[in-house]
Amino acid sequence: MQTAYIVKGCRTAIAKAKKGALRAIRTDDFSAALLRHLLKQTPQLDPSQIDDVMVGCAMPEGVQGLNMARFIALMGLESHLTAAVTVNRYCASGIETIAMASAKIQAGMADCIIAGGAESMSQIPMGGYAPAPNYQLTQNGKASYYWNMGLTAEAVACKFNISRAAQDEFAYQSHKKAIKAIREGKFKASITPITGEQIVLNDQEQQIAQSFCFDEEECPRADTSLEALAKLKPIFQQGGTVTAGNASQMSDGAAFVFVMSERMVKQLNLKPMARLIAYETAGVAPEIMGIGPVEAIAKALKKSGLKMQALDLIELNEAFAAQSLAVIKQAKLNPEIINVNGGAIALGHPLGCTGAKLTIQLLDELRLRGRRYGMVSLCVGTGQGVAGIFEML
Amino acid sequence: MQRLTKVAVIGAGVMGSRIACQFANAGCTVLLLDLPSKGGLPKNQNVHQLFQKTCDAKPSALYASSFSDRITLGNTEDDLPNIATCQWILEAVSEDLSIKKKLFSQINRYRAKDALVTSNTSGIPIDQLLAESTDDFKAHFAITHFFNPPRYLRLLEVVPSPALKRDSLDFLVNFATFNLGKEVVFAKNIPAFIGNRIGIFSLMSTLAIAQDFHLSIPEIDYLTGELMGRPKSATFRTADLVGLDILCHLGQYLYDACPKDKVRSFFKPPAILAKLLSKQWLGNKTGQGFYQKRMTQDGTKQFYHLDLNDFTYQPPQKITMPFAQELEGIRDVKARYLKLLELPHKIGAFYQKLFAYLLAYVAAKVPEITDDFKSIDKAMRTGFGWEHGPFEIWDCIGWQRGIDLIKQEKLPLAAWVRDLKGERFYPILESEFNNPNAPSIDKVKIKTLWSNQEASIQEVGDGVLNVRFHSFLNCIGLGTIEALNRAVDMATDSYKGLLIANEASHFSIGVNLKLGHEWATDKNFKALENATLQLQKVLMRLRYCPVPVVVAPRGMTFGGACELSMHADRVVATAETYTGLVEFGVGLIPAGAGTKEMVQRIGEDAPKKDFIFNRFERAFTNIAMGKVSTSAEEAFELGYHRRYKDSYVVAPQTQWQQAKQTLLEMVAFKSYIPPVEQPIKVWGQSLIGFLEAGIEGMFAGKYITAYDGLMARKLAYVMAGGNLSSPTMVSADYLLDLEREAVLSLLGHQQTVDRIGYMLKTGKPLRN
Repeated sequence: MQTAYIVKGCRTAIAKAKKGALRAIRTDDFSAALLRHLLKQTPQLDPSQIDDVMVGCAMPEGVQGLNMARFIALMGLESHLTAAVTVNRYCASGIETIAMASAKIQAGMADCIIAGGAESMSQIPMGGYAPAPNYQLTQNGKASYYWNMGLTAEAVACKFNISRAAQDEFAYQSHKKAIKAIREGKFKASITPITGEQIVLNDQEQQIAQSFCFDEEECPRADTSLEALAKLKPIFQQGGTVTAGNASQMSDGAAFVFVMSERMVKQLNLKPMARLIAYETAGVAPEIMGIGPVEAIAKALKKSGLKMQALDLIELNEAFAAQSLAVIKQAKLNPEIINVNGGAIALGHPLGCTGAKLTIQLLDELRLRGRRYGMVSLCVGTGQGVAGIFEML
Repeated sequence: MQRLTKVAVIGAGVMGSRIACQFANAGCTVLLLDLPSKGGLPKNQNVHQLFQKTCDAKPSALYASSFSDRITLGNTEDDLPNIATCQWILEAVSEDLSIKKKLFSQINRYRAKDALVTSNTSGIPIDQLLAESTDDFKAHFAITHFFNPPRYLRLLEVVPSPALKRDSLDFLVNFATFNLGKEVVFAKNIPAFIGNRIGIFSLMSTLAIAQDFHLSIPEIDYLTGELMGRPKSATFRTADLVGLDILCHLGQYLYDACPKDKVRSFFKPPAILAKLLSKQWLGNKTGQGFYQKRMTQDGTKQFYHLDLNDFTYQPPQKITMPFAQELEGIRDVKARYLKLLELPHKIGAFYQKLFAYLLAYVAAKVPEITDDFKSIDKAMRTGFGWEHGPFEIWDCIGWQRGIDLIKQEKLPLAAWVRDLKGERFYPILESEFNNPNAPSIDKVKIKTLWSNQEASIQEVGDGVLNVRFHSFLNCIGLGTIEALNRAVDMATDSYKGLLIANEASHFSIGVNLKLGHEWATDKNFKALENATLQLQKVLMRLRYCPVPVVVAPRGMTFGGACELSMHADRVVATAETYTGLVEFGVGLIPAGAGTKEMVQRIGEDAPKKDFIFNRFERAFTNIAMGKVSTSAEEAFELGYHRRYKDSYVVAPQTQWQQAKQTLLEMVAFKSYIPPVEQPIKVWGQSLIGFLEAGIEGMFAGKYITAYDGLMARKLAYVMAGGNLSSPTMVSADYLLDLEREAVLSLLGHQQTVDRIGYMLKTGKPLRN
């Protein structure tokens, strides 16, 4: 078995869905820009040496339909020689591709893969344009499989006794950490500016060309406060505890990494950054999908042979404060090492992109701190959880 | 001026903003200006904030929220020159003569030569307003006094400048009447015109008289509210609504301005008002006045009332009066007035005094404030929401009784009333009291051909037949169905078409629930099934009969009545039509062919390859939430009326004519082609799966009860055409069978029976 290395990564800054900088930019456009950037950073690599492009996407329809990955590869590599696949494990899609790429390389099936994820929640609504729940399931008392994610968060909050105040406090801390991280320039290393030109109307309704450059995190709010968070109304359940303030923000973004074999790394004379030493998935009841990471984390630790204490940092996706707190409580995670630079409540959660984005964020911070082991874990819709453990090299 | 397309409203306070909205409702584009913001803020921030308040107000000032796009906001510093493009410039700034005069001179600088300029002053005489104006300005000027809220209170007092050209005045009156839906009353150049003069007198005299009788605030409001044909807000809640500071100001103003009024002492604000003012308890705007609104723990609002003895607020009390049940049982207010006067002891004496002062005062004010006593009635009806004006009430109690009341209080009696010598104020023919909604089809032409308890079939001229509902609240019962069936037969045989219109404020509140409740309680499913079937059948007949059918809904048009209008060839509504499929509120689904009709409409409207389930979801949600349109415009958006064939008029008195005209146009040159029944596409299991996932989410989110969920699943089943495995074309009858099955099964549930019973008892829906 050959070793699969994560060599380098890049990502867009994360934009607010519907009103942010990427609202009108197609997913394949801003994703292709990242691929071009990766190639530029690796001039010694001939695009034809890339075996595959794997793009995670949670709502692969509309502008994200028709195997979007292939279009991203065609545009980003400016070559038709590399094939591509779109992968969907909802919110974990972006790390799923990294795991699949690592596995392929380990199995000797490939030497160089671009893996990551991309999502525009501006352009494709949650649930897609044409949801079609299964009749039989709805008749067999399983309509709850189709609960919106907010309801599952309410169920988790109820089951694991997570109070509104605790959720709001968690959300508040997420913003504080994120704002601090941005001020310290923590994300600069991996954010690739997305530039281009848009045709818009001016005040006189005349068409004008407007160039844009998007390279700054949009979602965190420096001005949020516990009082402001406490004022928000629950949006998923009457009398519930989950609000727009303690849930992740809908957003747009993309993130990719190079995964390469030892041979390729040597040939290109690149310095590998990290490797994925364990990746596990787990299933739970769809109604409490938020608790999914607990089992996945246990499985991944076991597979890696590491003790919990060996982990230096954890990126635990903040789909909702409620489920994050429940996972921390149930898996007995150390809150001190979780989401040290803020999480999705502050920074945004572009579904299919997030797994790859968190991976990049984790590796950057491990490197900065000079630490060795880190974990990325996410809860996944319809009752799933994933956890991946990385080792810095 | 041929057409009014652009209007400027200057002053974006409550009145200015809302008047601007009414012009927007009439299809005008409006320039709404107010003072620029101070202190370096964006100049238009002030006008934006003012207008936003009106946009947030409920009930809405706009027929549809999107109409706010018709209103452009600006400030008087930068944008006054833009009034040059407006054909009507309306001033609604504060009631300060010098401010108004200064504004007029600015308007005069920029206005188009032939533009109309009007002022919404509530009481400044016109000669003072025009004291420094040019002759040309005077020739284009009038006072147009709107009442708040201008969308809902129809009174418009007009005081034309003596120099205003006849055709300009005609244009103004016509536009106000037909496009703004106003009842125009000409007022004289006197303080407070007609409405406020009488309205404030009535309010202030009630305050004063009530004190003599030692009645509590809720008691007075009970006695002077709906019981005597006045709005629910009665006396004190109306005062709170107006604002106690404004009431004091108006009272004092009238006291000073009317030295010749013999009873002007009533206008002088009483001590309690002064005390409330000193505490800054000014009514609704400060949250407390005669009442204080409090929220209970479960989020419902309660009105605590002021105890006049110690100025504390007391919790709401249920008013119990021995005569209440009997009086409330008299549905026709006209028959109630005399009964009120004849009540024993204190209460009767209270009413006697109240009416004596009111009647003596209004009689004495003719011709001082108007030459036509009818204007006073019109003003009180359309500006203050009284069911009948003072002279109409006088006719109800009889001339002599009115005279006796006045004598009893030793008040002077106007000579012109004495000279009536027992005659009525209104001839019998007009005894419907100029119902503001009454059709202006020549009454002579209307001939009733057939009639039962619930409805009549009438000839209304030009070969048109009309079915007029007249049951309690115009409920649709078996009698109504019989009338409709007969009318279809008669119209098919020998008329050009069929109109379904009546003159009530509310077209119909739907099917007769009382009977349904009895049958359901008795588990008489045969009768229930038969009645449902009859309704479905007659609505299908109306839809497919060989002559055109036009339905004219107005006001509340609920449930079965909404289904009725959905089966017309054309709907000609009034702007204020509140319609919807509200069956869920009483534990039912629409089964008068309404669910079928929605399914059919969705199929007809959706382009090929459209994701049609979104349309189903919208219709499904509207029904499951019992959504009612807040205007005829919104009925288009909800899909109950259809833009390409249905329409509405703003002035209700024109509705019958418009409806008849619409019908006659359809048969001109024998051009009417009746619709042909066509199969309907249903989606079966895939739609059920889609809708049920949503129902589950609503239930899990605790937005609906388990029984709501059960009802919603029944509705989903009918809309999907049952659990067919694949999309299938079905007949209307197939869907109607499913409607009936669903409704009968729901009627077998105690929860539905309870919901109907609760609605009958309280008028409110029960969530169980």
